[in-house]
Order: sequence, then structure tokens, then C-alpha cells
Amino acid sequence: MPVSEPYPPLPEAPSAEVLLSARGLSKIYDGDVPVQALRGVDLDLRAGEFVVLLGASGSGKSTLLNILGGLETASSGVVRYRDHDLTHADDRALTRYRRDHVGFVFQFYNLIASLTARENVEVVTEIAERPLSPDDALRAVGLDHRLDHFPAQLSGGEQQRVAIARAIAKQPDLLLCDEPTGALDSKTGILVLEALERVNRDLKTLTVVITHNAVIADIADRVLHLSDGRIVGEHRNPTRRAPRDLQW
Amino acid sequence: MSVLTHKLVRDLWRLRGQALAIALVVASGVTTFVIAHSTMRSLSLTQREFYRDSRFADAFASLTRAPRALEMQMAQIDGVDIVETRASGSALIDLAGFDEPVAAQILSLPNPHGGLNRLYLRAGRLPESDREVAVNEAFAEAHQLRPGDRFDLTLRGVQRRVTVTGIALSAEFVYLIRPGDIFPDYKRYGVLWMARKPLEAAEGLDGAFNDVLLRLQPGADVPAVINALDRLLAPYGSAGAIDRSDQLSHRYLSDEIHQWEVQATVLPGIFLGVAAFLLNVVMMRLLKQERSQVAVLKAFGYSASEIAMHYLMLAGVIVLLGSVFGVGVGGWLGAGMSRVYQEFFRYPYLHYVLDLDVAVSGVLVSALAALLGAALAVLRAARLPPAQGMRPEAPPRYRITVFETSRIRRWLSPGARMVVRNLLRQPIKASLTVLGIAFSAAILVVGGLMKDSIDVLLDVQFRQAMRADLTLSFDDVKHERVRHLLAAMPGVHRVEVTRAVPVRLRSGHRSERSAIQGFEPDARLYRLLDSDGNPVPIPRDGLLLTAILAQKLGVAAGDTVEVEVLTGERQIRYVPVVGVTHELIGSGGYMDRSALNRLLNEGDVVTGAFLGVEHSQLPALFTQIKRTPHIVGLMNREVAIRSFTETMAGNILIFAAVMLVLASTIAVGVVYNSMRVTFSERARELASLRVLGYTRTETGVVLLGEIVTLTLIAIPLGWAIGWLLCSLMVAELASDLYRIPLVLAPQTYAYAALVILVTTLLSSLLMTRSIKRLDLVSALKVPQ
Repeated sequence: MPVSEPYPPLPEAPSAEVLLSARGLSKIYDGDVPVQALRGVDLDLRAGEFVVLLGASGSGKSTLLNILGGLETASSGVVRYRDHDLTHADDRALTRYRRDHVGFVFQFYNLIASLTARENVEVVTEIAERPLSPDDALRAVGLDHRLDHFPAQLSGGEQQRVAIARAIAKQPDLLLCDEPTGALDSKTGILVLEALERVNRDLKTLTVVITHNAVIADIADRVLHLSDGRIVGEHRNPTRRAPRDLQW
Repeated sequence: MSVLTHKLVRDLWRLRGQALAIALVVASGVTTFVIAHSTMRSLSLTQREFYRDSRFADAFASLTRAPRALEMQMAQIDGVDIVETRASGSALIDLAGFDEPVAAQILSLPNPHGGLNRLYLRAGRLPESDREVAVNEAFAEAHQLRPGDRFDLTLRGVQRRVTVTGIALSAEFVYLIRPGDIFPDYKRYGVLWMARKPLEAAEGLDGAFNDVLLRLQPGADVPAVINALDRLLAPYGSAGAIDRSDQLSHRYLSDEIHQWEVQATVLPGIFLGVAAFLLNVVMMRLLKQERSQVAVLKAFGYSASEIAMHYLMLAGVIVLLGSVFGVGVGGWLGAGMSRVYQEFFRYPYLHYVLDLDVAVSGVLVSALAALLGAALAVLRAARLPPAQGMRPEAPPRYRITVFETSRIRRWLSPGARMVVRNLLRQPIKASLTVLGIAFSAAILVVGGLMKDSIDVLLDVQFRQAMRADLTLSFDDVKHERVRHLLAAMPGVHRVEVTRAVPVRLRSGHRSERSAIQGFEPDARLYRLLDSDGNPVPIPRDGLLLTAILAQKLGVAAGDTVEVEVLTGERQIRYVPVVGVTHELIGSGGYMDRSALNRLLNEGDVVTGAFLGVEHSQLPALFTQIKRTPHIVGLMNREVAIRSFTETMAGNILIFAAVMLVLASTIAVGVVYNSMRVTFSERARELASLRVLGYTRTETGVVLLGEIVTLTLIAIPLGWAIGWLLCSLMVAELASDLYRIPLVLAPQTYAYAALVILVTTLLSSLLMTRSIKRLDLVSALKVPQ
């Protein structure tokens, strides 16, 4: 396995293109008791960045991630992906957006039980425009020896790495990860984070990881703190720590 | 209400779509059960009552003429209780305003004191003089005859004007059909009753009789009585006595009741089997979802039996609702069915009875099906130790299926592989689903049998075999010269005379009452057909038998049968069988007419004729026939086809509609439930696909792939099962009265497939709403 070295953060005034920008993003869930999950979020995410969104349960981080990934739409405010407006996009356009540009990784791996590791990746490569080969995607997460295993034959960490391989196989412009280590022990979690970091570094994929585990923030270029539906703080790490140096 | 009852109500509401689909399948099963049982009972109960009230005879004999003094001797036969003799004859009726001649059987009234086959008088009074008759009700209705109406009647060549004094019904003619017809034709065939004295006079039977009815003592040895009677009556031209089981009306009625006995088991069996399977699938799924809830309940101290009871109640409520609904619909349709029956089976009254025990057994049988379906799932859940139940279930294990050779695998998309592996992981469930849908297709195929086969029956009988425009029968044997008289009648362009004689055929210990018809060697107006429908020429010598008769006698071409002629001197002859024929209606033997005349030691005589007629001349011909003595029977081919088609069209339509509703219920029940269960099992995977960028349509294809695959397998299987059911039905219904040909048109198969596909499509459309509503975020956020 290649050694992941710490490497310098992006420059303070980044020249990299802004992929996603949000302005005044709010989300209210209607119901018997309306819940305001986001209250005016402003945000720019640039190509190649590794961003961690840190917040407690209920802080609105998942909602933000879902809106950025085109799984939900905001109640008010604007989200743009490059020059596309996602705020008013319909289901068809959002599907297209997810299909062409977004890779997702979830806490529960959501693999398809009836397909092998390789086939789970093929699910994406079949519909992507310029995909990696499934084998390459699995090699990138260190699973090239488990290609023909079904999910039930893989450990939790292996399943999550298949999920990452599936997410990156289309060579997405952004990789959105919702508590990717939440269901894993720390040792396995670190393996998963290493895979994410490698993807970010090698493929220059904008990677956003949301977590309530503050330790993980150390591997990011930039860390956003969410609380009560607002971004309440932001800092840049002077150096990114290697995942294997983390402990929790 | 206990908390579990609350849960029960809410579970039912949550599963309402599936519960409704299952309840409807149960309802269909119970409906068919109730219809079949109640119709069967109503028919046989009314039959019993009517037979009893009218003192329906146990044995019957017809002869040429015998003195009434013979009555005493008949009464002395061991086992005979009551002897009733009567006069009987054939008549032609000329009704004002109805061009065609109408044939009728005329009988003397039963003895007013303790007579048999007593009439049920619907209106008017019994006839007394030689100018008065009573007519059967169906005939009166067909011609709107009322007491006081008059018409011309030709008896033994003598025409007289008679007055209708009464409208009557008789147990002897509950099903009234002219021998050789395939369907009742009340307009052209009737039964008349006249007082005995005048009828005796008209038939030349003063102090004599030509028809016998017997009431037998309970436990009488029927064959022995028949034999004794035959010996006694043989010198008087008896064509052989029959017991009730061979009486025409009784036979049709018994056949009909028997058919319902078959229906009463087969259809409800299919429906309740499907319902049990559906309940099993739904309960399995429900209990899988509620695995941890069951474990928690048990951890809190609920007993396994309390929990089992709770889930069985769920199945029980669904089935109870369905079966109560089914009893209601079955009762309603059954009552309607009995009204249809009154058109064909002319009882004076038809008691429609929906007995409590039929309703209760309908409910019980379906409850049993429910129990069978649900028990396995419920027991498994109730037995699960709580600690194990609270842990998530082990993930399903999949494997690469035997079908996926590397070549096929490359060709299968991931979606297709999901479909194949999911199906093969639960092969029993998949097979039962296929079987359920297949039965639905099979029912549709059965529903088409009647129409398809009747089209063929009509074509074979009235276009291929019977080609005469008119078929005449004479009151007695006539010389062959009669052909010239007939040929001279208006519009007649071809005459073929025939000779028919009643016989008893024997081969070894087997024996059958039948008739031999002698045809002209170059007969074209009635053709005998082989099994492929090709004409069979009349052999110069020897006997042809219809296949069913040959089968009953156990003979084939090359064998010799003993022929006992049932008229005259009751000669016995031995005749070689030279072939078998395959007409669909009636049964009997055929010979060259001259050969038959020689066999009977008689001259060149005939008993009837086939006529080829110019249609424009029919009215003139009818007028002439009405004025011609000795013509007592007349069948008009075109009219027979028309009245048959008109009557059957409506019934076939109703039958097909009922089958469509029943089949669709199964199809929707199976398909919709399968989809719902698949959807609930795969919600997370489907959500994953949507998140990965699959469109709704692409996701839908993966969801529907399973059921569509199963449907496509089920359709040909359904065709095969349908064909098999049809061939069983056809074999079951075959009699010497008629044989329904096993014919299924390609359209019937196509229609069955179409209905199944449309059902699948409609169920799919219902499911697309669910895909649309699939909450991507929450589906993915729960642990696997």
C-alpha cells in the first residue's frame, strides 16, 4: 500500500475553480412541527479540495450534503454547480447531475447484496461517460483481491471501500461522504479514510466528508463547523495529517 | 382494545393494498365455491321435489301398439309398483303468422287417479275433447300462446283445428330438446297433451297403447325389470325399455349437475391455493420487517402463542373479509344463475337455496387456506429467541447462478444479474409466483374454450357434416318412391332419402341402445367425417360407428357386432364394423341404405329425407309440407344455426366476462403483491441506484424485471395448464349426446397473454408511484 505523506494545503487565495457555491441556503422540513434544518448557509467549494463538515447530530450537516449532492432541494437560497442552477432543478435534471458529477459514500454502505464487488462498481460504470474500469476503481481502494466477493462475504471496512470505489469509478467532480466511518471501528475507519485521501490526491476530486468525529478534521484542507443550521466557523489546516496518524 | 389489537388495525391499514388484493382472491374463490355448491343444490333439490310432486316414472318404453290388457302382466313383473300406459305420437303444428312447420310430440294425459308424470298446470285447465290440447310452457312462451288460442294440428295425416286449454310443465321435459339437436328450440319443437280417448282415436290406438311408464318399488332390481319388460313388449314393436338414467331430459339435467360438482372443487381450489400462497409471501415479509418488534414483545413477556395469535388474526381478518364478501357475491350471482337456468331447465319453480352450511363451509375452507398460508411464517417468528430477534438478520447470501457462464454474464447487465440472482435465491417463491400467474392465464384459456369449440362444433356439424337445408322424418316407413313426391315440391333441388332403425348393439358383454341410419351411397347432404374432418364414404357393406359408440362397445374396424333390431320381429344380425366416424353430435351407426334394407329383410323403404332447397322457395315449400300428411319432423339447418348462435352468444359473453374478472383478480393479486414485496425488500437498493444517478425508469426496470421475467415464464405455462384443463373438461363432458371438440383459437392464447400483460402493466404503473415517492435520503440512512 502506498504511504500517504502529509502534503501542503491549497494556497490561501486559491486559483482553483469554484465547483459548488451556495448562498443564503435554507431548508425547512414541513410537518406537524416544521423543522428548520439550515438557516442561510453561504459556501464555496473548489475543485480538488478536501473539506470536512464538522457538527453535532442535528446540526444540519447531512441536509447540507444532500442539497449539495442533488438529493434534496433547498427551501430558499441558491446552489450552483459551475454555471448550473441546482435550486430550481427538477428531478430529471438532478438525476442527470448526480449521474454525471457526484459520487456518494454513506455511513451504511448501501451496496447491492445480489451483486459482487466488481458488479457493484459496474452499476456505475455502465451509465457513466468516462468511467474508470471497475478493476482500477477497486484497486484504488486496495480491494483488487476481492473482486468477485458478494457484500455478505466482505467485512464492514471492505464494503465501505467498495462503496468508495463505486463512488469514484465515474471519476466524479465531487465526492460526498456522509459519516463514512460512522459504522466502523477506528482501525477500519482509517483504512477507509486513506482510500478517500488517495482518491482526492490522485484524481483531484473535490471531497466533502461530514462527520461528528472532530479527529477526522485533521486530514482536511479546510474544516467547516456547523451548528443549528449555520456555518459557525471555518479554519484551514496548515498541514493535512495522514489518516494513519489519527486516533479515536 | 388491547394494544395488540391497535397494532392489528394499524398493520391492516398499512397493508391495505396488499390485503385488498388477497381478500379479492379469497372472495373469488369463495364466490365460485358458493355459486357451484348453491347451483348444484338448487338444481338437484328442485329436481327431487318436482320429480316427487309429479310422480316422475322410473322406467319408460315405447312400442308400436299393444292391448291395454297387457297392463296387468306388466304390473306383475317383480319390482314394479305402478304401471301407466298412454298414447303418444308425432304431430305437425301450423301456427298462424309463423311460416315454418313446427314439430311436436303429443301425449295422452296421465291417469287422473294415481297416474305418473303428472302435469303441473301453469294456466288454464286440462284438455277434454279431441279439439283441445295443453301445451308445454316454453313452447307457449315462444309463441305467446294463452288458453283459448287456436292452431292447426296434423296427426297421422289428418289436420284439425285445436284450442289451447292449458299451459303445462312436466318432469319428463324439464330439458326439452328434439333428439339430434344440440340446443333447445322452443319455437319449432313443442310437447302437446290431449285427453286419452281422442288421442287413441287419432293414433288408431283404440283400447291400445304405445307408451309405458313404470314406477318401481324401492330397491327394485332395475335391469331385471327392464329385461322382463322387454321380453313382454317385444312382440308389440317395443324399441326397448330404458330406465330413468337414459331418459333424455333427466340425462341432460344430471350432466349439468355433475358439471357443477366438478366446478365446485376445481375453481375454488385454484383460488384458495393462490390466496394461501399470497398470504404466505406477505406474512413472511411482514414478520421479517417486524422481527425486532416480535423479539421486544417476547422480551417483555408476551408468550409465543399470543404473538402467533396476533399475526394469525391479521391473516384471519383479511380472509374473513374476503370470504364474507365472496359469500355475498356468490349468493347474488348464484340467484342470477338460477334465473338463467330457468330458461333451459323448465321447472315450474326453481328454489334457489343458499344454505347456511354452504356459506359456512366457504368461509371455513378459506380460513383453512389462510391458516396454511400464514402458519409457516408465524411459527417461525414465534419460535425466534428474543435475543436473536433483536439482532439484525444475517444478510442474504447470494451466489453466482449456474446460468451465468462467463459468456452470458458478460451479456447480462448488472440489473439483469440482480433479477436473476434474486429469483434463484428463492426458487420456491419464484415458482409459486409463476404458477399463480399461470393459473390466471389458464382460467382465461378455459374461458375461451366455449367460444372456440362452439364455433368449430357449429362448423363441423352444420357445414361439414349436415349440409341438408331441411331434414324431414316420416311417421312410418314409406316406399322409396316418396322421393319423387319430395323432388316435385317447390324449390327442392336435391333429395336424399334415409332409413333409420332403433337397434341394440352388442359386443361381448357390452351392449348399447342406439340407431342405425341408412344413407344413399352418393349422399352429399349429410357427410360422415373422420377425425381430421374429411368425408368418409358410405361403404357398400358393413357398418360405420361413431367413435364414442365404438369406444363404448370396445370395437374397432374389423370387429363384428351383434345387431338386435328393436322393431318388428326383433331380428338379430351380425354386421362387420368397417370404420369409425367423428361427428360431434349424437351417436349411432351408419350403413348403405340398400344394405340396411337387405339386413332388415324389407323392401326399398325409407323413414326420412334430406332436402337441398332453394332458399327463396322456402315459404312455398313450408306451406306444402304443412299440408302433407306423414311428415312429422322437420329441422331447418339455417334456423338451427341462427337460434343456437343467438342463444349461445349471450351466455358465452357472460361466461367469458366472469372468467375475465376471476382471472384478473388472481393476476392482480399475484403480480401486485409480488411487486410490493419486492419493492419493500429492495427499497434500499433502488434508492442506491437513484442516488448513483439511475433515472426512475432505469430503477423501475430493475424493480419490474423480476415480475416481468416471471410473467413471461408464466404465460406459456398458463397456456399449457389451460390446454390441459380444457382437455380434462372436454373428456369429462363428452357423452353420446354431444362431444365438445378441444379447439383453442390462437386468439384465445393471445387474449390470455394480453390480459396478463395488461394486468402486469397496470400493477407496474401503481408501483411507479412508489418509486417516485421513494425517499432516497431516509431509505439509505437506516442500517442494513
